[in-house]
Amino acid sequence: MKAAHAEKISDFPDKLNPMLVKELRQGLRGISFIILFIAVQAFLCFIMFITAIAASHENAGHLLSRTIFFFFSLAVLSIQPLRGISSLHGEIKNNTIDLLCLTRLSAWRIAYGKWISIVSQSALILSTIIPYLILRYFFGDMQIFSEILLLISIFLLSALFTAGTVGLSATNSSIIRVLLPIVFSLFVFVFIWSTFAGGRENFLSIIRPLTLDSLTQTLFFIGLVTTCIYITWMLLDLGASLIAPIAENRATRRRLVSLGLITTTLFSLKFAHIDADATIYLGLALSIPVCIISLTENPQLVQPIVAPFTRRGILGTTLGRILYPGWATGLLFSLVLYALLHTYIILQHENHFVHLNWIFAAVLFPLVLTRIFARKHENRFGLFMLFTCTQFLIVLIIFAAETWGGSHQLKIMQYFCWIPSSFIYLGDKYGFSEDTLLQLSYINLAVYTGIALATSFPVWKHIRELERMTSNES
Amino acid sequence: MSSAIVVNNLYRYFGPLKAVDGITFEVPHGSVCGFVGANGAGKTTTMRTMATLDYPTMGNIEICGINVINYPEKVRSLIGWMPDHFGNYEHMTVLEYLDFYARALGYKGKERQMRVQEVMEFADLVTLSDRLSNKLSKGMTQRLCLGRALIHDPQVLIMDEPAAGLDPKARVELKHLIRILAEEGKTIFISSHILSELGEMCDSLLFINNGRIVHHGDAESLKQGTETGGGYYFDVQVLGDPQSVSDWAVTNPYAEFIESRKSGGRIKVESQELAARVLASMIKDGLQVIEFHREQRNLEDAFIDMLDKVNTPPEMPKT
Repeated sequence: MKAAHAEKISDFPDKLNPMLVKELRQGLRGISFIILFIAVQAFLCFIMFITAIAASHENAGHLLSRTIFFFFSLAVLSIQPLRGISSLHGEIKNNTIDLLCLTRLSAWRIAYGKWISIVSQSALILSTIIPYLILRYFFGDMQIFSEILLLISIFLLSALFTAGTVGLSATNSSIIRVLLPIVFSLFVFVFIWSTFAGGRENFLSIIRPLTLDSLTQTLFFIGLVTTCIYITWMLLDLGASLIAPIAENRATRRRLVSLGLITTTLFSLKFAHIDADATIYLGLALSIPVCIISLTENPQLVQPIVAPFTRRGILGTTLGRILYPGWATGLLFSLVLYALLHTYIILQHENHFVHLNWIFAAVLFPLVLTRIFARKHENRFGLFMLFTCTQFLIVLIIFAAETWGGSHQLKIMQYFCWIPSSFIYLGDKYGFSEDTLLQLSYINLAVYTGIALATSFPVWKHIRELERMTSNES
Repeated sequence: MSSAIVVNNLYRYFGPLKAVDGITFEVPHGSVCGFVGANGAGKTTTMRTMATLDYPTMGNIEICGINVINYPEKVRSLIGWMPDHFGNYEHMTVLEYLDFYARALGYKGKERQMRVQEVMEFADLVTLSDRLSNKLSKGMTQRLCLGRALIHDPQVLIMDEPAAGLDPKARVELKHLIRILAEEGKTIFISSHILSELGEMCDSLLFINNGRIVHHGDAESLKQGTETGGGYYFDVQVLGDPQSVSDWAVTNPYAEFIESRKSGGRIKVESQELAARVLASMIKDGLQVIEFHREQRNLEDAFIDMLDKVNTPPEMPKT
């Protein structure tokens, strides 16, 4: 009789992640999920009833599809991800993150558990949508394969957006944590509205690529799924890094996986003779998230992290220069990625150097500002994102002033060419030749790289000292 | 007796603020050590570092012989941590709360159920098992927190202000639980502002001020003032005018008058040898002494004396 009360708690198997068990217990009792779940069901029942009455109408089936997708997308793309806003921050605010860190749960399992619980609730909504889709089949005019793929794609995007809110929820900045996801959610709502409520053609334009009739469409879909999974992992890893104790090394694996994935993607697509432009932009899209996370990492290193590298001698410590956690090593890692993409562009005989340079300079620009103006600020990621947003906002304001303010003749933008994001608009209308633009982009990149490297010297000194101590002790 | 906790030359700086400034101490296995200091003295920082939740700027900590910095995972299985404040989860019963932590600590199946049941019985939580954890009183919450800290049966328990905000009944209950744990042989490192309670519970007391240890010894020696050099206090009762004690003390270089009492007063002398001379001098000077007995200082007095001795401001912002 010893475990009399405790026997009542066998509602979830032992194999499940404890965080998932906790979050499901809490989440399924949470009023927000219950309201959303019942509301979606009620709306869909009602719409099904109305459609059944108007079944003779030629567009009835199509209208039903759009309605089902509208409500499903609204629930899982716009509302469900917002439930992640306070997930990790709630643990930090309540001081329960310390208690979690003292268990066997790693930072990754904490972040993953938070994410998977919201995603499994979205999956619950998805599973309840399927009966309506089966009923909808009887109304005719259904592209069953495409619509199922659309359903899966929406679910994947929901998982990605949820990873975004969960990952960002570990930051201190409420602008990044709350405002950004809410604004993004509003944009998503507008997109959902225009796609599913904006007429038959809009809906078909989404459905058509999902027929997977051609190799390009199939590769596009596979690319979408892979990118979704990669960025989802990256965003969750961001959250995990922000809450992880100093002795937990998340950076090395993240950088190695990213480097491997980007290299594999670039060269496999090259040998498959896929469009070089698309490959380069895909390479950039995969590189930017890992660069941002690497450039905002805590530079504080401890012996248990350095020890596995120093044991491998000079090779280990050399690899450590790009794989140790911290923004200084992240800077070198970003330069390695830059070199990789640069080499790829040379090999492809393409001319995308300006894009490559300004995008990397745009990533280094906020790092330099952080190092100069907020060196001791703890919220590195939040500041980095704020500076990133600011640089794009400045350029957008100048662009707006030039376009609508009648100051087009002044060509103000060219005086702001030191802001890397200005390269989006610097082009023919400013009279810059391609060579000038290229030189400018290299200067931009070199200046910001130089400043960032110069400010990283104290960190390198600390790393060398730690390596020496670790080697001596071992 | 070997040491369960060894803190060696520990420093923790937050920018220019020296939260912990080179402290060294040891706590033997199976003992209860009280950690005393004003707000901002460095208590919480030290305890968090011991619990692997913070990282020292310099220095070392070993828990049961295992280095906290190099092997935090191993140390975590040896310690139970009770923070000074924490929030409970919404929509979660007491039973589910403990079950979650048991799962997170790696317990499975029957063993998990047994551990949860055991800590619920120990912390008297059985009747509260179906109550929502965020709807408990402060005392119940502290018992739940203690239960959580004990799920993996740790050898060392680190408790940061566990009695803060508790009513007298809850405080007595908590003290009782701590006493049982001490009898079971667990090493307990506990900080508190309620010094009288620490004195009753603890085998030794550590005083920290401005990030430095200013005293490490047992409560008895503190009360008697032998280690701190705080002096000896005597209650003196005389026949006749009670004012005569204070008048006499003014003329005597070895006795310091502290306060008046109904039939005399309280005096302080620097050493036991001087006490005998003072008594002899009183009688010689014609005071009709009917009682002259030594009083133990309470721990609050000892603490204040200690702070006076190191001549540092008592209030600092909390780190």
